[in-house]
Amino acid sequence: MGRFIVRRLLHAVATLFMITIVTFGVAKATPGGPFGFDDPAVQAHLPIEQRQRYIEMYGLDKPIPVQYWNWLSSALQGDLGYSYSFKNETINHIIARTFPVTAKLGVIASAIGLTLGTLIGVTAALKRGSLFDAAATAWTVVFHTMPVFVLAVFLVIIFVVELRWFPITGWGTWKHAVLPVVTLLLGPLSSTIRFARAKVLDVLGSDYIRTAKAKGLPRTLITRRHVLKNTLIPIVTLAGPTIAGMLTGSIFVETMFNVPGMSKSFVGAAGSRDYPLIMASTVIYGSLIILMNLLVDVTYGLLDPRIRYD
Amino acid sequence: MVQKLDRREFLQAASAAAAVYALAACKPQTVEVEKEVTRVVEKVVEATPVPTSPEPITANINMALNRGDIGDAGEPGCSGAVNSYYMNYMMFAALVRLTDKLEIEPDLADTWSVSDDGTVYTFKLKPDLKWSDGSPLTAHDFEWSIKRNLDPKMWCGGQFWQLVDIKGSRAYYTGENTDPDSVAVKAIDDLTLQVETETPAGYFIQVCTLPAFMAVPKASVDKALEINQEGRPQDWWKPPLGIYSGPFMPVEWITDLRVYFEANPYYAHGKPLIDKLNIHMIQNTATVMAAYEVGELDMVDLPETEYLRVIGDEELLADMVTSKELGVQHLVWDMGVPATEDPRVRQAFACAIDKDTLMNDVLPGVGSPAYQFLAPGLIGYNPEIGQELRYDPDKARKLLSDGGFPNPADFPEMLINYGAGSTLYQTMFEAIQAMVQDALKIKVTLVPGDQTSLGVKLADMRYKQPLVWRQFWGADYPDPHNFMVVLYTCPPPQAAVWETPERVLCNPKFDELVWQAAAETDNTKRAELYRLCEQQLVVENPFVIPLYYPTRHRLIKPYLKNVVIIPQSFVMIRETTTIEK
Repeated sequence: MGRFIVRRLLHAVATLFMITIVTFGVAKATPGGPFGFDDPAVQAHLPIEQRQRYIEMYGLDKPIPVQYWNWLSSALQGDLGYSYSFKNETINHIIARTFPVTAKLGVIASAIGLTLGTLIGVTAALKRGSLFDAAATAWTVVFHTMPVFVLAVFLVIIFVVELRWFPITGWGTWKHAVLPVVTLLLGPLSSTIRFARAKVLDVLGSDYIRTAKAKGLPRTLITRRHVLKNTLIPIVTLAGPTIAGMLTGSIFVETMFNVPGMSKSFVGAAGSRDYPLIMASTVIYGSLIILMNLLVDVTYGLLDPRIRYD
Repeated sequence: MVQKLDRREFLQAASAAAAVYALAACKPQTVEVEKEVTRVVEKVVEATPVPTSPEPITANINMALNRGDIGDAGEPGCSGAVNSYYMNYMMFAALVRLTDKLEIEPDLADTWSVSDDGTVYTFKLKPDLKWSDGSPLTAHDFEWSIKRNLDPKMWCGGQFWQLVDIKGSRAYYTGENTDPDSVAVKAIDDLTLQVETETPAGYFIQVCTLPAFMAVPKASVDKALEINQEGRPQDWWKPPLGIYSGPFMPVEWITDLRVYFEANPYYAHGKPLIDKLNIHMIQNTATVMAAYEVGELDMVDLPETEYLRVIGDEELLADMVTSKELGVQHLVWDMGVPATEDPRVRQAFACAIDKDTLMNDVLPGVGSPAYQFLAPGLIGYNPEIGQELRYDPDKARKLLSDGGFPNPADFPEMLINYGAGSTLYQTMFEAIQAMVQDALKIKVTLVPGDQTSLGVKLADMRYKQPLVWRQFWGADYPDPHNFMVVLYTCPPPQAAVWETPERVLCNPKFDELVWQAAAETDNTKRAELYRLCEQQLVVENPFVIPLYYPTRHRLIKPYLKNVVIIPQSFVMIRETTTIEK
């Protein structure tokens, strides 16, 4: 296991390195540039010295490989540089300011979505054909297919405008967090219900369950020992990218509910050619995906003794 | 010895840990960002001469900052867009300010006079002016601030145009002269400021309302420089560093989320009647409307997508306040394209757009049709100009034919760039595309896209195919000079460098008229000169096609009294604004 984790971590470093090269290359290859310098009107407004100062300050006058190397060496020392849009704020500070907010919402939404989704999915499968099963299936169809922007608007109309249970402006109390969390979790909740239900039905039809039943094992024991454990594998697979996605937030949810989170600050980075911010957001998201995938792989082995890491 | 966990124990432990973390995360969201908030008002409140009422009067308004404004929203020297202007006007005062009738009234200046030759402006400040911490504010603060805004070493550039009329400003800004005293701004004593312009400028007193003329606190800027990082000062205008001269002072500033203000007890016009002003920065229009409807916001700009719903809702309609904006939405020709070299071809295009139908039927509530570049209310606005280019498809076809294209099929594909991301513009330009195609029988292609990528995207097509750009110009100050000179003279005066004369008219006759009008102080003569400018710009050698004068709709709660609507896209919460529930 130890060797496996070390090997995977080395792979992760290589993957992350490739991600940064590709992102940097694509960002630089995209037409246009920062500060509107491609706009003749802007060019005309700034004296050449000022324009040059901007360019030098951000190292944009250097060849692209040198720019990349400068970025990489700073990043390895934990300095992600300055954003072009938030001029006097380091990206490290932007992340420190916004990531905890996004991550907290993500953790709550993932925890509730995955746990509740598993419980509902398993129960629906065990009570196949019941009213509960039908309701769970209907729920997944509705909320899996409903785009988050439609869902968020519905929630605002019902719970903010009509019922007036929750505020929509400001941030800082639990009441502000309820609707963003609910909006975030409904998608993963529906996916988890679907996965869990399908897997339980699959497991229930397998030979070893039939054998266990034939041996006369109690139903609860079969469910707990055999059904649940085997169901967890696809759920864990699903959980990796879900949690990574949740931790980096949803731009729509953050904009709709005015959450001071990371997505809101990072969106538009590509449009405004804010290279340092583009790199930072890609590295954060890439790292989280890699980390979650590693955790998923480690968890497989703990859930299923047949899985070996050598 | 390390004790090994079996799988069951691991799972139990992991579940327990997850549950604990989830519970911990479920705690009320006391967000980290709150920690950066530092209240600076304690000292001020102690010194406040006016006792605070037990129930502070609080107004909540919304203002969605553009991304480009985020970094410099509070720095008057960098402010160039409507929302950052707004933030500046809340925090700082200039020498003079505009009324809702667009008249000039004193702000921190008490009186002012102009020399006989029209070049020397002498401002007498009000006595006993104070910053929000009670320290004195003098003419020396103005001198220092204006020169700072021209300093080529200042971190942000680009707002030079606001100060371009001051004698010596160009040489200092471009680094030709490094002596700040070469800029003709001088504090004669604590109460007297003298500003000299390069030439007589009839509009200069209007220019003095702009943020670059605000006094900023040297003490705050110096403090920020002391704690700078890599040559970048901290944002000196944010609490706890900032001290202020405007009606309100920020006590909490969370980038791109909200800025909370409290009334400045030392404001020159008296402490505002509103104790607290909360500016929220909500971008999502559905959220803005929901917040207004439940009473969390007292004033919002009406999102264009909500207009039809609001006019059908009696309750909301009663709150709707409509005002004309001093600006013009228009199309600008890309000059230098062989196919559109003949002015008659450009005139044909103007005649092919049915602006009345566009504004009354396609986009009700958005604005009124424009045939002139200058907006109504400006000196030189003349409703008769441009009438010969009203919608007339027969005339349009004839003009195109006379301009060298008797067979419309020979005319190259026409491109219209309108900027991306707005359903309003998409609808508008799809209608214009249909109108032009129908009237002229030529092919018109819409090119959405922002200017960052557009230059490159269109690089291959430009100068070969006819192209018009959508452009909006809103007044920075209510004078035609602001419309004519900044955009279309060749080169524009604010241009520190002039390498690529694109999107300017470069018509010597037009330039001559504009500068003649600028130096003229008699308004009757100026009006006549601007009429001639307009004739050049819109009719004779058309460089722009005016589309409409925008209308701004806002929802304002009836209990919010005495807001000052200035037709430059501002609704000012001023000292007399209050809430009467």
